[in-house]
Amino acid sequence: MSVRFAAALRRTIGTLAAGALIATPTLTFAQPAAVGINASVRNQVQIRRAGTPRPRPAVVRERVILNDEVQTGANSQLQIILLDRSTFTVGSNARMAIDRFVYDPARNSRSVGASVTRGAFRFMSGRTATRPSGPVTVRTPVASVGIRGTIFEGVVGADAMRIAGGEPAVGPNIRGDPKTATLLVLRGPGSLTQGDAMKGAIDVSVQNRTIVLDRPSLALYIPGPGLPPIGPFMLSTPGLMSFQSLLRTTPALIPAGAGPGQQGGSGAGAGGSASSPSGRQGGSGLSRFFAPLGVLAATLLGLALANDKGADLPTSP
Amino acid sequence: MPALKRSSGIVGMGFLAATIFAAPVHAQQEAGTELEALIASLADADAGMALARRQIGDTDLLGALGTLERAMFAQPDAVAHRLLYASLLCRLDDPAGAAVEVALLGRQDITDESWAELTAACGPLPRPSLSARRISPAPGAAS
Repeated sequence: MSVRFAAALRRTIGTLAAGALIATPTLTFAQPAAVGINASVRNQVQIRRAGTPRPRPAVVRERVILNDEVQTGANSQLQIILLDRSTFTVGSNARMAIDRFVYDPARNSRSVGASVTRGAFRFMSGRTATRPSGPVTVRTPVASVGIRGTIFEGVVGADAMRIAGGEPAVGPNIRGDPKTATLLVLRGPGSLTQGDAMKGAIDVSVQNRTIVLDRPSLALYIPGPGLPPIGPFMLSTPGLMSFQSLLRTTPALIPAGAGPGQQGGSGAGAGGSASSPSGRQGGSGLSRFFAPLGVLAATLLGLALANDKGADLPTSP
Repeated sequence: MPALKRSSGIVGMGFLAATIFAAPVHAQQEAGTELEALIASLADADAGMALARRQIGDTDLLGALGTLERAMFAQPDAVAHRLLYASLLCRLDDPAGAAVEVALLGRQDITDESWAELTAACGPLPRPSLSARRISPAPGAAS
């Protein structure tokens, strides 16, 4: 070994050592890789950290780490606020993970990826002072959804088949896969949005095609792997209500003719006698379902008259 | 001497690289702290409503929507929250979504102020009947 080579080798080793000294604290600092925080936990929500065998109950304010797998039970929800202020809501009977997250406010950039293998979910773009740009993608077993500043909802699995089966545009006789069937719906903002929100859209990639949903309530159904997508179509009011029940909460319903101050009445009001000690009414399944639909029909009619944009209203069966 | 210059240059580049890598991490930590402050402000429904109002005043309608969703997870029966949520959906051009939320209220008590705010955003609407009141055990009544 020549003297010159030995000197060069020493210099190189010295430089690498210095680099390592500099880099080590940075790498150590970066280890936790938190991508967001549990903002709200309702009922049965569990999180399994990558590399650990068993899930544990989700806790509000707990940091969400890259590749944490969220699992929810029936009638359960988790809301995660990501560091870029986007909101991801995981609904009932779901399984989801954030598997890509890079956010650099200084460079005004981000890249977010999530995968949903089961259940209902809702994504809502966040607002930060800098409006970071970059790809935001949600994948299901049969589709990949590119998000352009928007609110959208989806459901994967048996619930997707159930909801889609009730849609006039799909019908109950379409063959589907109860594990991977995916129903997606854009919720807004629409073209008449106010505030500083911008009109939203999603680009759904499925089987080498890209289908754009760019109006509130516009939906797309993918029955399963290799099966042709159906839509876009306007999701019906019962369809919207089904998403609502999976992703949000429902207030106690006051049945017709029940409670103090009632003006008599019977029929559906009979449900009032079954009110629970907690104040929530029991009621029959029919009264719980049809009473809000009656109000809904009137409300939709009012909105249609008020807004003069009937084309944007969902179809009703 | 040239070797020293080279080494200094490389070490300098190492510092630069370390700074570049560290910046997003620091920024993310700061963002996480902000988020914790946001969550802490949601100790109760009133705080959630106050925060949503601030966000609306700041034209952050999507942020207000998320805040109200959190508040309604905790209090599904909060009528004022749901009406404000519905009015926001109208302002975001989702009248069908707003109609679903209003329909869920059924016959619960709705204040004139809340209803006025909703109709200002959504236009004139048929108000749910006020003939029935919220179910609650009458004073002294047996269950």
